[in-house]
Amino acid sequence: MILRRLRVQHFRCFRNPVELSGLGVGIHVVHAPNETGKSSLILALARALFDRNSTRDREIQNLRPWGTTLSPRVTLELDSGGKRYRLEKAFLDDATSLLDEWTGKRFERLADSQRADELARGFLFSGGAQAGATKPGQWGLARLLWLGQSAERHVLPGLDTPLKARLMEAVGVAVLSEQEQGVLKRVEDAYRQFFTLKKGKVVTGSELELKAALVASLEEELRGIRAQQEASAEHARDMEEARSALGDLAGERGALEARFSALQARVEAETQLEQQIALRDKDVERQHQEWEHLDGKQRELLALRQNVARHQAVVAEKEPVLQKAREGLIGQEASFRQARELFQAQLGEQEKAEQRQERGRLLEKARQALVEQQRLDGQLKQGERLETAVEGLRRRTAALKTLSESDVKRAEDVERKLRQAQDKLEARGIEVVFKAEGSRSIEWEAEGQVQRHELAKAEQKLFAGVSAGSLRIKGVGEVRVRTGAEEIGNLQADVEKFRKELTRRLHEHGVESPQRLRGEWESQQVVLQEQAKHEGALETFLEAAGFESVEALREKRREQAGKVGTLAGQLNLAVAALATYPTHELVVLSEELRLRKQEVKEREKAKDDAEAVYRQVERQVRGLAQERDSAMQTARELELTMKAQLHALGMSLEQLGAEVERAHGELERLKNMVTGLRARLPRPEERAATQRRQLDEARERVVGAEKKAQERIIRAETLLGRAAEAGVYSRLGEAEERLVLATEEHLQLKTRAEAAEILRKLVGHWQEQVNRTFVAPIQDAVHARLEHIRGDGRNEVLSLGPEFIDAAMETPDGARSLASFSWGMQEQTLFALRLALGEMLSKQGTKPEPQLVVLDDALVNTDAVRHRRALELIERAGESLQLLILTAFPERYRTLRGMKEFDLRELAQESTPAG
Amino acid sequence: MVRILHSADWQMGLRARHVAQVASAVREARLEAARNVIQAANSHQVDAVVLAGDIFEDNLVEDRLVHQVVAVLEGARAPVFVLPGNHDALTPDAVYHRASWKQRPAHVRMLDGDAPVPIPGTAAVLLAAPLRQKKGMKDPTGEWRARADVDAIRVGVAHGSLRIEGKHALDDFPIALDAVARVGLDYLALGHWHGQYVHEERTAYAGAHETTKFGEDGSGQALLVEIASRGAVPRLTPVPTGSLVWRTLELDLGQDAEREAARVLGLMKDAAQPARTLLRIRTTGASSDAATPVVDRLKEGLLGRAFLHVSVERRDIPKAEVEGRLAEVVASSSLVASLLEELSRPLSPGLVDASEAGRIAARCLLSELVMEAWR
Repeated sequence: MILRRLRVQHFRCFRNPVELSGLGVGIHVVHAPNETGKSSLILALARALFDRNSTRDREIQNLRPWGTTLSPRVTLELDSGGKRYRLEKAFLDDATSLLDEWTGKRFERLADSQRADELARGFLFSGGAQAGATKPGQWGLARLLWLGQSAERHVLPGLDTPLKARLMEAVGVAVLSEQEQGVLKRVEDAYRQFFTLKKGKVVTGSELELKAALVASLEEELRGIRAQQEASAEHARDMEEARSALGDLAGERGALEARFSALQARVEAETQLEQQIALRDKDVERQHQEWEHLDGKQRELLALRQNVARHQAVVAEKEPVLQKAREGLIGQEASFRQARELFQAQLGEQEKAEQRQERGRLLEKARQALVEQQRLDGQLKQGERLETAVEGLRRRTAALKTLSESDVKRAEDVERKLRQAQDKLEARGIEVVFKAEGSRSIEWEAEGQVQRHELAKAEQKLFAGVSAGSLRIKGVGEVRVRTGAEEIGNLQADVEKFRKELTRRLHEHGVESPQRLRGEWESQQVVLQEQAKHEGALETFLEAAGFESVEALREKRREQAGKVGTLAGQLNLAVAALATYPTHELVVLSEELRLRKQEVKEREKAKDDAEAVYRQVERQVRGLAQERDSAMQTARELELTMKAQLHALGMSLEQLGAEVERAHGELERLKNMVTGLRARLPRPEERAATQRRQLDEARERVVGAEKKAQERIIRAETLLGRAAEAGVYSRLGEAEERLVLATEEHLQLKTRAEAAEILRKLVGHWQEQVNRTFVAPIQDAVHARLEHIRGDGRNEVLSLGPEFIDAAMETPDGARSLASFSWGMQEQTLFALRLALGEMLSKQGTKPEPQLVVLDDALVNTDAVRHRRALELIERAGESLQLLILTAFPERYRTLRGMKEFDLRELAQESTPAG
Repeated sequence: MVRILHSADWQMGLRARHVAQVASAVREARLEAARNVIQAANSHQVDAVVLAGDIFEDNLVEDRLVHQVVAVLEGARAPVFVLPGNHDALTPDAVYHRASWKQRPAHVRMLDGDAPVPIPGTAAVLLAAPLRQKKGMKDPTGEWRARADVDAIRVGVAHGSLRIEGKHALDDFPIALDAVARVGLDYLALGHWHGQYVHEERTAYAGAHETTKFGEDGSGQALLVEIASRGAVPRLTPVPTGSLVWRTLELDLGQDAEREAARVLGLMKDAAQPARTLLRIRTTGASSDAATPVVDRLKEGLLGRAFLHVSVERRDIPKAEVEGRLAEVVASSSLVASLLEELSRPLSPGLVDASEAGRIAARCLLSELVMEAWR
């Protein structure tokens, strides 16, 4: 389809009609600055071709010029399938759709309203929208051929079945017939009946799933029923076992009962005998108790008697030993006393030696203190001497008027300046010479000072260095001289100034001349140096002596004198006698003391030994006495107890012995009787009672087992009855039958599902093959154009999916999605795709037809060189296609040969009504 | 002279998985057939009805069924002697120990002991070999001993397989072929085999009173046994008792399938009592892609004529080549041709994991979808 004329009115920025006419195969460049409606033209074309006139979708409402309720209106003339048509379309309030066909003379109505819309959509294979406005994806061939400004600009357009069929037709791949498409759809439907399209899982809630679930649940049910059946069989087996056991137990019980009856007589005889034995056993017990009582008593008394005798023997044995021990104790006591006295005497000797040694040590200490005191005396004298000298010098320096060297220097400096000024004044000032002819008294007054001179004859007096002066010669008169020279005045002022300053400085220090002042300063320096020297000496002395001050030394000396005095007091001597008092050497005294101590230790040991022996003997004597007394006491007490007991028994010890003998004889007799009776009874394990007890136990066991077996039977019978009541068997049969039916149905469904799956897979393979055949020429065509634009050096090849989605560029490193390339690369690829598809549709297949290709602001990211190459492609495409290029930069396309140019702004202005 | 109606293998409560759709009808028919047995006994005025085992399918059958069977037996005018078989063996949980069975009328007697049981009003005694377990390798008649001093007509009643080569299993209570001669029986009434079978004049299986499955020949009848005197050869007369008809129809798909189907349909056009007839269609020959819908239509047609049950057993072999309308489509459609070709190659990439049944079903489905699309 190509466009012949396009007229747009009441459409966005085009309130007034704008028309492009004279369009045909070839290149058309529509230019206008940005935002002046270029893209609106293309939108108007699309809305007219693809949208229902009756739709009132917001998208359509937004097409009205801003702030108006005007109905957007588009008229277009187009060639399609060798015929020319005119489509007039208005939306919203004036909604109309009229399609006319050119008969050669005039346009005649072909269809209107919905039918017209439908036919219009057919020109570009658009299916239109189910409801509302169409989306670019629904624009049929336009989606493939128009490179617009939409958001999807950089997305590869997808294919639907009619579009794909049209392209397949163009590239020469057999198009599927309606029936074949029907088969494909049916295969898909058959598959979808069982499986999901995306993941190929069984459809939830599908018959296949439900049937599988039913089979599973029936199998579960069957398992449950079979378990019940098995349980019943188990109960039956249990019952059988229990019945068999019951039979055996009955036989066993019968045998036991027969043996039980046979034992009865023996049991009675044994019982009687056992009763007799029990009676005799009691007699034996009683007799045994009596014998035991008497025997015990006898044993007790005999033991008492034996005890008394033993204690009396002890008393007799101890007496001589005790006597002998007492004698020994007296001897030991005398030895002990003697040793103690010797020890005391030796202890006195030791004390005396200690006192002597202590006095010797004190005396030595006092003498040392005295020496120290004498040393301190010497030091103190020296210190005091130095201190006195320092004090004297300090007093002298304190009396001095402080005079610094700078003072001296400043005075000398002033004097020098004065001298210089005077010299200058003398040299430059007035010089008056008076030579007396006879003696004369003269007065020279200058600078307010009067000098009187008595001149002898011919004596000459010179006055110089003043600016003015007055010489009064007594009796002669007065000569006044002065000079007006300013320099002299200044010199004189300087002299005066320095003189005054010198006078002031000298006066301050009470001297007459600077020389005196310096002499004063020098003598002062001598005193200060001496003071410093003495102070240094004092300091060195104190440092050497280890004192902070002389006062501290003095204090120390006082302390030492006190110490010496104290020590002399302790020794009871005068301080003066300390040095001369005679004494032994401390070593001698110590040796003496050591000997004394050794002797004392020996005496002490001798004393301790004697005391230990004495004490031991004393303890021995005391122990022996106690033992003897205790034995005597015990013997007496035991004797009394024995007598009291015999008295209580009322018999003598001998009589008691006879009684014990008698009781023992009686006990033996009774025991023999019992033994005789016992001998008549069988051994315990052979007794009838024992056997009867064993039989009883066995019978009890058998009865218990019988009871249990019966319980088992009753239980099994009950459970079997319940199973029968519950219809386990019939339920099993029915469940099996239902399972067979369900399994059969499930199997049928499963087989059909598998069949559908297989078919779908085969169809998939077939489609893949077809797609490969279909996509390859398109890829080649795009690649050829891309290669032209990009020049050499790039070897990426476009690879398209069967529905154009999943486009990728095959690079040496594998496939990369188109979106991952630069904007320039993307737009060049999409541009090349449009041209390739357009040219294929225009030239190839059974129904070739020129197509409208729209390039709205295409190639904006492409550099000049590539743009130029793209223009070459456009030029070539212009031979078979209608190219509508919309741009804000017409100069980029100016080199295109044979293109038609439209200035949209001009067209819009032309249509604006005057005024 | 003694006249006995010999029947066996009633198998009340039969589990009919093989005809699951009509299982309950099949079960109901067995009760109906039992009534037929009792009616036949009454009409032939027999001295006794001998039921040689497997009256019940299982010892666990419900009491309701036991009551129903008792009610049927109640209708017998002659005494009924019931032998426990391997299905209803005299185990501790045997159905014959149940209260529901114990409430039976007095003339229904159990053959549960070793002692000979006289048939009232006759000079005949019954020697019974009740089974006490489901399976056994021992001859149940093995304990019977010959008695030279007895004049009574001796009739043995047992349940098991005659020891005939290829017709018995070792644990199927094998019965020696010389049992009659060894014990000196006049007649040995057997149960276990469902088809009626007479062995050397004096030994016979009466067969199941009602057919249990397709291809079970000789079932659906009882045996009227008449013995004139001790040593006389018994006269055996089959008595029909079955209530359902089980028929197998052959359908040769190697022929023109449509015509063959029409033939079968015509064959069954005048069938008596279709509501009591179970049909099995067994296909044979090399079939084309068009055969399946034909078979399906035939089945539907028969069901439409109120046959109780119709099943199809496909034994035909599908042809590899395409025929008829499908062949025309293949000629015009590269898609269909390609798909059919793929389906005829079991190793084609789309069929790697497919089962043979799946491949055949896929071809069938394709044929169906193509026919729909080109309709």
